[in-house]
Amino acid sequence: MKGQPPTDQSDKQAAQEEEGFDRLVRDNIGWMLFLAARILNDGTKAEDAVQNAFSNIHKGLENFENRANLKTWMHRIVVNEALMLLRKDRQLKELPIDDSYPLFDQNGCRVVDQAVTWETAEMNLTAQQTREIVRDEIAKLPDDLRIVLILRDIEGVSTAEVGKLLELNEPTVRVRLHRARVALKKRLEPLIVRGEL
Amino acid sequence: MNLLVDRTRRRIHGVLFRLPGIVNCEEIEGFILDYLEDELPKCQRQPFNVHLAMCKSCRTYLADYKTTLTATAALSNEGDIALEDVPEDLIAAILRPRCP
Ligand SMILES: [Zn+2]
Repeated sequence: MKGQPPTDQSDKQAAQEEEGFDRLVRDNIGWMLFLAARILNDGTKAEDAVQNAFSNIHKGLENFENRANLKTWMHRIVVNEALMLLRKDRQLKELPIDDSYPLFDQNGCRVVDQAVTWETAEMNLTAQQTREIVRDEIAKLPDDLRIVLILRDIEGVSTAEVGKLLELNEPTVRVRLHRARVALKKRLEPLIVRGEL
Repeated sequence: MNLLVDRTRRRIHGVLFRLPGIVNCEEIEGFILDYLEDELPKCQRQPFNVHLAMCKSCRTYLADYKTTLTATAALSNEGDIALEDVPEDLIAAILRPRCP
């Protein structure tokens, strides 16, 4: 065909890069949305976080050399973007009081909780049902505890790395992790007692 | 557990936990994370195990704690949304700025 200018090398390369990016988006957007929604407890905000994340990824991709760790790199970016939105949002919210920490008497002896109650009498939950309950109970934890638990115990991010992401020192991360687990344990106790977990 | 039994148990433990080399439940609480990550120094591991052997409420507590960890970890491999469930306009919005 006449009139059509010959595509030069740089155009072709740019087109290839865009195609590669398109592929990268489609291959990864699913888990990124899921992760952002888990952190933000909100599907719409998760979309914003993922959009911001991909904008950063696109900018950084050119200079990103460690292809083997591409997914880890993207994971950190989306976590960061989600955390940023969470922080912005949280200024409006009061931190709930966490009353789930165990009690000890004057001798440092554990005071055992009395009768845990559970609203539904349903038994023999399916694995899917118990997973949903666990997920819901995690979602109800105070943000400060919830985020540490999600990153460490679900996403498998190291304590040091969680500290970096949240700008906290490691001992603080560890204290929060323990408190988060204890708070979740208390919420799941009715299931545990009935052997559903 | 009935309140009277619990109070008696705690009175006995209150005496036991004052013995040299014995840690109380509250101290155990602070050790759990390290214990489970195998980072508890040997000098603390021994008292930890001795306490567990004596204290049913801490044994139950630790078992429930571990169950909670397992239940949480079970969520780690479910993290995906199928591409067909991702809103197409979101993908379009992500790709748009790069196509002038
Ligand atoms: Zn104890």
